[in-house]
Amino acid sequence: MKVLLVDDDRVDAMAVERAMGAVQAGFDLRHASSGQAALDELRNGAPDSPTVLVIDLHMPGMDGIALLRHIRADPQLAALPAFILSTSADLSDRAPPPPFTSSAG
Amino acid sequence: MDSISTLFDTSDFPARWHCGHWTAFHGYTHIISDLLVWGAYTAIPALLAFFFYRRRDRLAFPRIGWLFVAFIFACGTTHLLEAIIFWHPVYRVAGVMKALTAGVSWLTVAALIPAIPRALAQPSSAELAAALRARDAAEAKSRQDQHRFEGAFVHAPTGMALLDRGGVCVSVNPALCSSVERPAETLVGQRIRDLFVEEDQAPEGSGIPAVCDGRLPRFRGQKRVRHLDGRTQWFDVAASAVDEQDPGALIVVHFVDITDEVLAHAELSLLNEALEERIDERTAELQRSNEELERFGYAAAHDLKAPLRAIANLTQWISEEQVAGNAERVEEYKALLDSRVTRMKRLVDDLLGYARAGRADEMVGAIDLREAVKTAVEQVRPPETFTIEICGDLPVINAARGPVEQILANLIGNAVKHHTSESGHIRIGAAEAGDFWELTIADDGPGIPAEQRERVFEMFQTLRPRDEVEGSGLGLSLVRRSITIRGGTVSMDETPGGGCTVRVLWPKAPRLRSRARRRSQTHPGDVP
Repeated sequence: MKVLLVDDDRVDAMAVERAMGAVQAGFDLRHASSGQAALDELRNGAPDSPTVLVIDLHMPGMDGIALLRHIRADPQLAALPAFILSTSADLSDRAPPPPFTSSAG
Repeated sequence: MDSISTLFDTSDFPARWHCGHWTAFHGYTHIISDLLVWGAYTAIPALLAFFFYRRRDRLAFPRIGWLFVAFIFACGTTHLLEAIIFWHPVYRVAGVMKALTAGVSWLTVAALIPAIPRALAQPSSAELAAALRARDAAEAKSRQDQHRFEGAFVHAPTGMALLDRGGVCVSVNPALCSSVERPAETLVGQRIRDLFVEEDQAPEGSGIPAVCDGRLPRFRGQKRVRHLDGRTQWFDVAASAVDEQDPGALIVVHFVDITDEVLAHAELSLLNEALEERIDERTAELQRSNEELERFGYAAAHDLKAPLRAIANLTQWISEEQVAGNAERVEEYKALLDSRVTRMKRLVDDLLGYARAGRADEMVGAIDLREAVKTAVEQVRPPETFTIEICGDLPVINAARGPVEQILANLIGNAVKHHTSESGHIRIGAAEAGDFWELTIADDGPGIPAEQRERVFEMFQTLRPRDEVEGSGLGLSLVRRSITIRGGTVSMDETPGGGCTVRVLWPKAPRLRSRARRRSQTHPGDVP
């Protein structure tokens, strides 16, 4: 299983990596540090393209939702399964969802 | 003729002298007395006749008067005949004469009887005199009343006019003349309606014209009078008939100058409107600031939690790797731990700086902007490969030193920090823009896409991962807050040829803030 982890925070990415490693060894895990970087990598169509995406919700520049919109809009990538990770686990932490129109840009 | 000659025939009787024994004295006493009576009885009716003739149109009992004239004259004539009979015994004529006298006398009696009650009903002269006195007194009182009312009209402190039923001025008082600034001669004969400005003239069937033609009992309203020099003045105008019962009675119109009150009222409504507007503004401002605070809360919690979470994770991993004896990992995690602590410290420091950006306890003075730029550059300490150029003259501005240096350091720091090449060139310039100084800080870095230029001023907004460029995401929001709170604005633009240009508009006159400003705004002198 090839996983592309998209997270701007290195320590958070490490946490995911460590957690997945603890569950099962042998994940092919790669890390992109921004939405734009992830999109570039996916579109370049590298031979070892990922089979699943793990995306952080809060990221500077292109956030998780925006990245997902780009992916779903791209016929080559639209079928990719993706998980959205949020550090705002507690509902009371959660900011009102951003309006979709602005995050699409 | 026979009967007349018979009448004067004296042959049957002797003259009276020859009847009985008259002494001369006795005889002449009769004769002279009869003649005197005759004379008087002829004079009296003559005089009465003269009087009655002259008063013929003003006699209370003209018929009785003429009867008196006739019977007195007849009495007199019988006396004359009595005297004549001493020589000429015309007893027959005398008899006829006496019969005539009797007839006229009884006619008089007959006329007098019904006249007596009427005569009694006539006022006595005392009564007439009393009535006359009463009339004189009433006349005097009426003159006095008239004088009083004229005085009240003439000396009334408010303008008054009497109109005829066509609405035309019959009489005006001096107060009206001075109020409407027109002499009485031009006002009298003029329609009162023409005094008012056109929009205030009542259409036929309402207002003063309706009072004049009796359709309304009274009118009261506010109207403007245009003076001959074009100024207008407000009057409270009231009109009603002098006598409500009399459809032809004059109309009295009252004018009270209420210009001051109307102006004060208008000023008050303006003030009210301005106040309401200000309340709306304040409410909107407050709402904005509340929303901002809410967003701030979420963002601050998120951004403060991120390094905390990392610290918690890293501490645990360090223990785990130490147990596993993985020294390389331990070192890596320690370095990361250090960076997260620094990041958190910076975040807290910047939050504090942001909170302080709005503080009012600052000394405003003349600041040489060139000096401020130098100080800011020293703070930023850009690498040797960066050049910072000051283009043209920088002005001396009115501001507090601390915030200005903080703003400049932030903007210059951003230009350096976000530059993607090893070297860079930053140009700082200033120009006058009306009431503002326009300060520009232009870099030749990667620039910011147009759609993101506003977002970068929001709190906790970073465009690149913090692992690549350390930043709290508060720098530009602090800059904006610091500038807007002092009456300026900041915006972002593209540098011709590539890069980002930040434009700051800084007011030439420092803005009065908080309570001092509010007081000066509510001062009535400020109302437009």
